[in-house]
Amino acid sequence: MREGAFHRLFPLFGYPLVALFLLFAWWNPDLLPADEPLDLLVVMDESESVGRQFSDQSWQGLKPLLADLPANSRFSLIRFADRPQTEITWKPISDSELQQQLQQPALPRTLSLDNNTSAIGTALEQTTNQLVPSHRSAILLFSDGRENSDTSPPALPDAEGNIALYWSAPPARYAAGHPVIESINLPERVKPVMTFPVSIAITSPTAGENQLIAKLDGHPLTETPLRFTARSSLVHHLQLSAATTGPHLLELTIFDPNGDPLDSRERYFEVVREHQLLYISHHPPSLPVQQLQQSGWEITRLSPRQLNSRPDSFKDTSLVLIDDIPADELAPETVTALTGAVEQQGVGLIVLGGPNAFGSGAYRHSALERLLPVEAESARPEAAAAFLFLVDKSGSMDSATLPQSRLATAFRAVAESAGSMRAGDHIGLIAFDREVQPLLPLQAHADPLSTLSQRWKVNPSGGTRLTPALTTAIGQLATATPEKRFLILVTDGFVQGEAIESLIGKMQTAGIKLIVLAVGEDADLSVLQQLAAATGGQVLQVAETAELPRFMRHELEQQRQSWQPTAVKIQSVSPLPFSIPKETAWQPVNGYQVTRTKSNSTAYLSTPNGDPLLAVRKTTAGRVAALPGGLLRTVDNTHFTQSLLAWLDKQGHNPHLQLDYRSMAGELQINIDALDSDGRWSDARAAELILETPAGIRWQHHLTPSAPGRFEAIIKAPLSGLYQAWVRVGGERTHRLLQQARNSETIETPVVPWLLTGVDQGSIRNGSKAAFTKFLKSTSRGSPSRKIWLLLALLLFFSILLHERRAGIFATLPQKNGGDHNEST
Amino acid sequence: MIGLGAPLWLLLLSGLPLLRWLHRFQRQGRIRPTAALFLWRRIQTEGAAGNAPAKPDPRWRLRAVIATLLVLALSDPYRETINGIPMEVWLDDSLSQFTQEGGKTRLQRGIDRLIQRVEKERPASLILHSLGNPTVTWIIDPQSNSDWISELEQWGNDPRGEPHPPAPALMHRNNRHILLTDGADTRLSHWLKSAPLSEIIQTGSSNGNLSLTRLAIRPSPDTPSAAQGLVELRNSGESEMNARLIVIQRGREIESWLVKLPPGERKLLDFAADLSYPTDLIARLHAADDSLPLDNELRLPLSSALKPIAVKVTGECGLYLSAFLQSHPGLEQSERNPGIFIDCDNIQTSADTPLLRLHNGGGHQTTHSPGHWHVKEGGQHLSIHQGLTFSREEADATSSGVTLLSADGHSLIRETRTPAQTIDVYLDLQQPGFAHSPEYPLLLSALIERLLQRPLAESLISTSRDPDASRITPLALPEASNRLVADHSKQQVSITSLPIIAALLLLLIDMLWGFQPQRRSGG
Repeated sequence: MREGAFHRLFPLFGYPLVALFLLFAWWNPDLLPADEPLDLLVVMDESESVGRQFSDQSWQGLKPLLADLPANSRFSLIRFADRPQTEITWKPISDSELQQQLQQPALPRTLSLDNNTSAIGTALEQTTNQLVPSHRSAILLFSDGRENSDTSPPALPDAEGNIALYWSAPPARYAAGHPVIESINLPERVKPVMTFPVSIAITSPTAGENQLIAKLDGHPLTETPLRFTARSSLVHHLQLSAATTGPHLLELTIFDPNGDPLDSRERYFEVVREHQLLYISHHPPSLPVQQLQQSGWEITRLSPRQLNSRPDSFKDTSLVLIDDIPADELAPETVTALTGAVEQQGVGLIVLGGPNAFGSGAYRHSALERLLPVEAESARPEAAAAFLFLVDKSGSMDSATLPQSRLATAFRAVAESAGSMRAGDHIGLIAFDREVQPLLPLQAHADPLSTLSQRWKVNPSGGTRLTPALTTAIGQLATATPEKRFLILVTDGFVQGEAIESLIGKMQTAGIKLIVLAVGEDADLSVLQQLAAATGGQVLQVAETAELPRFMRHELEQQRQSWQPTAVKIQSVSPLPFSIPKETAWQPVNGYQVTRTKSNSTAYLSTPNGDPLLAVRKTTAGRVAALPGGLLRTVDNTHFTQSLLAWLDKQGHNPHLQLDYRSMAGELQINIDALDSDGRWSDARAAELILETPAGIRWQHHLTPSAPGRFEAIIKAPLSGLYQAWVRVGGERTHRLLQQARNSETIETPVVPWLLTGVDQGSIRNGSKAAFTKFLKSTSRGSPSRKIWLLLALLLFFSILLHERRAGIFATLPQKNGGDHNEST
Repeated sequence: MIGLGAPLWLLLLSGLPLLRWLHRFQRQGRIRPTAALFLWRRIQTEGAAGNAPAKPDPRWRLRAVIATLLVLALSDPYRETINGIPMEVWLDDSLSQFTQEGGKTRLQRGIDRLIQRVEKERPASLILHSLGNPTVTWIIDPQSNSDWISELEQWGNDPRGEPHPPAPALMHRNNRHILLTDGADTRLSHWLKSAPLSEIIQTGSSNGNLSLTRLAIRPSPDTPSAAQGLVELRNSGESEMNARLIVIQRGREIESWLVKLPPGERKLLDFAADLSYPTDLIARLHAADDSLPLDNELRLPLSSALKPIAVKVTGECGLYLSAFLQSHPGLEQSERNPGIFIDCDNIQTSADTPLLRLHNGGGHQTTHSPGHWHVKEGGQHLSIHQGLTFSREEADATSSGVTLLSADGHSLIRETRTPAQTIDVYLDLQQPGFAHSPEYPLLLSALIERLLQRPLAESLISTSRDPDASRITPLALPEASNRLVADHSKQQVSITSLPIIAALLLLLIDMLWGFQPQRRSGG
């Protein structure tokens, strides 16, 4: 009977139930929980003002949050400071590696950031670009909202859009609650040894006692106890000094009573020696000393001998002036040190000419000449000359008591005199005692230096017979092609009584000039003086055998007549590279050394026949000027002298080239202003800037002008610390230390306004955990149930039909026990 | 157009023959108790159980329709529509879009094509975004606003800047996005790969353009009334171009050049100008084949830039300050349109003009330590030595503002930013010892520069144009954007409700039909 009721009621209630299902399908209510995946992108501010503690705590809080995300959600992590770095690229939240990373107490930090800088705008812009437009996404920004890089505001998501942006700021407890160094007053450049003041302002939000430790170049300097009341500040004064030139690092650290550092700052200053003139001369300076001193020059005078005994004299010098000094008076070590100072450290060098310098000072082919802008010989073709060396090899010349025998010294002098030879000169060498031993036939030699430097096989012995030797020499010289003929005789003067009158006539006829170098104080000079005087030559007595090479070289150059003792007018060849008054009148110079300008140098002033009077060569670091006429001594123009000295001075501060910079977040903004030699803005089309990073890597930049004389650049400088800049514009150069500040990002930087505006407008939401959890629940879109209702309706409808037709269906089935009941009709 | 979102459900329709087969059976009748068997015979026995009639029950058709409608509803029927979707147009209104082609700018030609598209589709709303200035957005309702065409035509008269496309994820998914560009900006290429754009309206073909990219002038260091100038031009086009470049001052050509420039090259040219009568300086380029005239001129407003800052002095400030103002070339004492106030009697207040207030009252005190600058930026600080006097008014000053200079714990110079930027100087600037020192003019200049937020001595005046902005050669836009057209050009509106409602009605009919008494065949 119960089954009967069911069969009766089923169609009665079935139809309304189908209709009800269809109504539900029409309504389509959300029944099932949402499982639409979410792309969660966490953006973590790692700049200094936030600190890692906040980042790590936020990271630890993410694990339960990720557990609440729908299945198939994805996760990505971006850390940022100066730039964004994608630390985790989209991973499913079920990813085992991600789960392991979430177990860690700190977030993964595999990519480098400069935490002095914060660029929230850039980070958010890159973040939104990583989102997939068709995915439901949420961005969790963990930041204090302070940035110091002036990035442009990014486009923010709509408040009602598909992307939810949450911002979580660190609570106040993460702000600095300890004393901080607010500002430091420190000069950028100081003079050596000079004491200068440094002041440090320190503020403290809380009361307490701390200690300030100052270190200079890593060495402890002072330890100062600090006592603060709440919200107080103090200014601490220090007196500093440093002796060595170059950059120095001042480190300031505040320690708490337990000795833990609370805050620290680093600042550089540079000790520079400018206007330090080292004057090398046998005489007091012939410069306007008083005026130079008044304009800041400190002048130190040394003789060549003193200089040779102080190899480190160039260390604290910015400009060296060598006033009419022969090359061989400077020891090779001194010239080597001078070369290093000029070419590597930028020390300036001036060489003044006089009767003892350049050609007369045996500069030709010397190490000093290699440094100069001129060569100590004329640019005009010179008539070739014949030089025949006649060297006494008698037994007295081979004294064993000396470190080097007179004979060996004589041959060395002959070899060194090759420096005075010109192309086309004829050279010959004869040794003699009682016998005459020709060593080198008189003729032109392609390489005089190597020809004369060879080891001569001679056997010193016996006495001296001058006449045969002179006869042989005169014979060779008389037939030589060059019209200038020199006979250089080296002897110790033990000339035994010989008739030399006949030789005088031969020498005069052949135009031979005799130069006698009499070695030793015992030399009998009467015969030799008679010979030399008759030929227009001279006898030089060389008391010290070691002086022989210098004497010989000097005398040969004298004979070359490189020193022009007459007054010559000065004429301008090129515009001077520094400014002088336009009305400057050049006075003639009283004598000058004949030189020629090197191809890599520039002559600015010259004689009417083109011999340089001011030539300059730029080396790798410094400038070298040669004034073969000793212009500074004769010209009555203090302004010219000061300008030249200032221009040649070590390139610490170039008045024609100024580099200014501004330390910005991760960048250096550089402005270069350049003047030309006329004092106008430079029309150069390029500036070369070499920047050395604190890591020692040098980068070269070519800048183009942005205005007359102005070159500008913004250069990436992510490393904090000391940068060095070398600038070259046209012929001007300068050098400057640049300090890229650390701790440039502090809690005093205001919160970026667009972030606050976004909060006000609702496009940025409160990033608390509760708010985000609420977001997850509130946006849990129920999954549409229409299909379920439709299927239910369809199934029920079909069931009704089956039920309705069940009798017929059962009847078609195989019958057991005589078929169905009597209900069938 | 109508379509199905899940057509596989239609496979269920294969069960309709089963439905018909079911209806070949007699439906379950009512139980009719009878007193005698002969009475039972009188009952019509058409289609008796176990004997399927040849024809199915006619209700099967109705039920087949109901089942079909339900299956149809399961198949997610939809109607495609386009005019119901807001159309968002991203307008590239950068400089290159103002290239003249056929008497119109590229932007105008693009807008013409856009108007045609809008007239055809009549979207629910038209949202215009400036790519040059993302803050400029304009919403038009083409269906109700009859002036929308003229409004659209007036969209861009001036370039708004180089494109700043939005992040693709920030673009509304349900809207149609159309980009209107000439494709000359390489920045758009990357964006196009991921932006959900339905269509790109690209206009532009010409590629010849010379542009002026920089004009700068700077007084000569030795002769301030004379100036050196620099002008830079570039060939942003694809072929060598000839042009005449002139520099104009006071209506006269002061310099001119005939320039021939290969493609991609730039040229810097120097000129001299007279600053005795500072008037605006104009550099102008005349080139025959130049199709973008907007970048052929640069102008320097010398008359305003070189004008000294007017300083209004109130109170008794003393001779030293007067001497300073008279000797400084960048400042002039004037009552009219002051750029800065200097107040010595603590009477001046200012709402918007920067104010330098020099305090001198309340007695004086001497500093015992050098001054400390609390300013972070700038490596160099002006040395302020000890032994200077300062006003005791400092003690009465409010704690607002920031100390710039202090000594012995006293604020000697203080800065506040409200209402106008104000610097209060408590250091006694009238003490002769300090006023005669080189620090006096340097300190005053530095404070005025801080108030004005620009250097007083710097008289470099320049203007420049982004060289990339003058690139007008259209680029081939990525294919990726075109693939998106089909996906986002139309909206699918679900019409599932229609078969459901129809099924409901038919179900009601079927139910009512079922309640009718069964027909008895033959009587």
